Amino acid sequence: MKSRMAVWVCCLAAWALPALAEVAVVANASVGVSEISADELKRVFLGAKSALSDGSAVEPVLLQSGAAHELFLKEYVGKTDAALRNHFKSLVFTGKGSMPKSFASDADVVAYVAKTKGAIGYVGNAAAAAGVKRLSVK
Amino acid sequence: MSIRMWGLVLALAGLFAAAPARAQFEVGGKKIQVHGFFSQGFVLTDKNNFLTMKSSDGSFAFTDGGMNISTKLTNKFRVGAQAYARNIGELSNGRVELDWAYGDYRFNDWLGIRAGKVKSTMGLYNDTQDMEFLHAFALLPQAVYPTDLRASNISHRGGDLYGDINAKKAGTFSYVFYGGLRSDDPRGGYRYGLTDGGIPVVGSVDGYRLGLDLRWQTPIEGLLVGATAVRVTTELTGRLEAAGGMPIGIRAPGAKNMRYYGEYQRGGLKLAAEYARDYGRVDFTPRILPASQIDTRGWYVSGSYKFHPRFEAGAYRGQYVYDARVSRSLPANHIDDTALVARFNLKSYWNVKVEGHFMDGVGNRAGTRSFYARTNPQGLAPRTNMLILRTGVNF
Repeated sequence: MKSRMAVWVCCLAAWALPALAEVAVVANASVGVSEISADELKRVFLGAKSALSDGSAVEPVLLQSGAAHELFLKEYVGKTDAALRNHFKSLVFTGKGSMPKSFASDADVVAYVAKTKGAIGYVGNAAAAAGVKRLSVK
Repeated sequence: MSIRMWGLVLALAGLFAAAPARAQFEVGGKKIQVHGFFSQGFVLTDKNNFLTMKSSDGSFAFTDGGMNISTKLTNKFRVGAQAYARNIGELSNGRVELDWAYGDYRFNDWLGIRAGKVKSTMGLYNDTQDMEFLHAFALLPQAVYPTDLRASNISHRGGDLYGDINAKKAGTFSYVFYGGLRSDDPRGGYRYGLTDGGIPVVGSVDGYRLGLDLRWQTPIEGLLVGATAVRVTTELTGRLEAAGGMPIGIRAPGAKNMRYYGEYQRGGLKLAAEYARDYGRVDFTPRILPASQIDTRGWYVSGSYKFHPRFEAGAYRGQYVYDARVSRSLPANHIDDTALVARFNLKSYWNVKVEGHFMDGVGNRAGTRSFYARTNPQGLAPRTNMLILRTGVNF
């Protein structure tokens, strides 16, 4: 009985934990901050903000699909994948923005962010993030 | 379709076959992006010919496409340009134009400046009206986004001041203040309307546009509301055919375009509504014609839902009134349009739309909106049903 209770408690705890913990926001070492507000993060990933509050220039980098991608868009950007693509297309075809780089895997995102000044992306929380800094979202 | 247009279609098809793999490349350390779009439609009406197409026989003269190139020269300074061409009935006839070309310097979140040829912000979709892939519908509501008057509204040669003001929990306020010379198309609906009304234009259509758009991304996720106010002047010279081709100056010294709009987007649901009013005075020189007042109204409500990543359905109801001072019940003073669409996303870059329209009324007394005298010499029936098939690709 006790073991069954423990399983239930573990399941409930896992369900109740913030889903955000499943996604890590990563940035190139040139990005001067170690934490970023959810609002700032959203505006970076909508192409509305190209510099953070400390003056660091930033460039958003996307995953192309997957659980971390869907979760990040839902929790931080407030748009579906299709809606976000349309948003960027509306900027690109009116000259008001560029299409952000996107990659198929966490490893590709990490590799690009590590070598690109100002790059800021997101990966699954379990992904190896060598050469990049993790930003906490406040 | 003209040989010139077929050449454009083939050139764009070739570019589309080759371009996606290298939509971004580097030159001198600068990332350069190239993007394009192309669409082809088929239009069939049961009675009147629509938008200068011979649509009562079925018309494929519903083609457009564009291609742009852009780069960031510094973190704050972007440059780019887009070429665009369309062949919609007799509208534009495949003329390739510089759609936009400008430099954009963003000082900070709340202040940026664009200068060059800039797409005009007016209502929700004026600047994206050509990009069918952004919209559920094959044809945007003509009551607010008249395809035939695209050239009059689409852009200005001048500049924008723009920015966003983050009001924290109250949402975000965005503004665009712009001014510049108005755009024109020698094969556009504005000129065709005047020609069909007996005053063909001689030379250029001049004037300026001065506009302010304010929009509020509300704290309710996905809800946007806003308004645009534009002052536009028009000056041209025409030939009054009723007076043996006598030159006549036409001047609208301060017409106003007002737009009020709202959009709600959540998950696969998208709802939108807009109200438009265009009004002002038109003077003639010499005064052989009396000054006239224009007071045109239009509105629509639309809704669409994405049931599946590959399937979306939607509908809208729009009403256009040419002269709000006259009874709108006259067939030649209004167009009511109910549209139903099914959109199939075959790939992320390729869609097909099937759309039905049920229209009541024919536009205005001179027959110069949507239904033109030049392609309806037999006269106009009061109602029109229309089927549109449209497919588009983009990269």
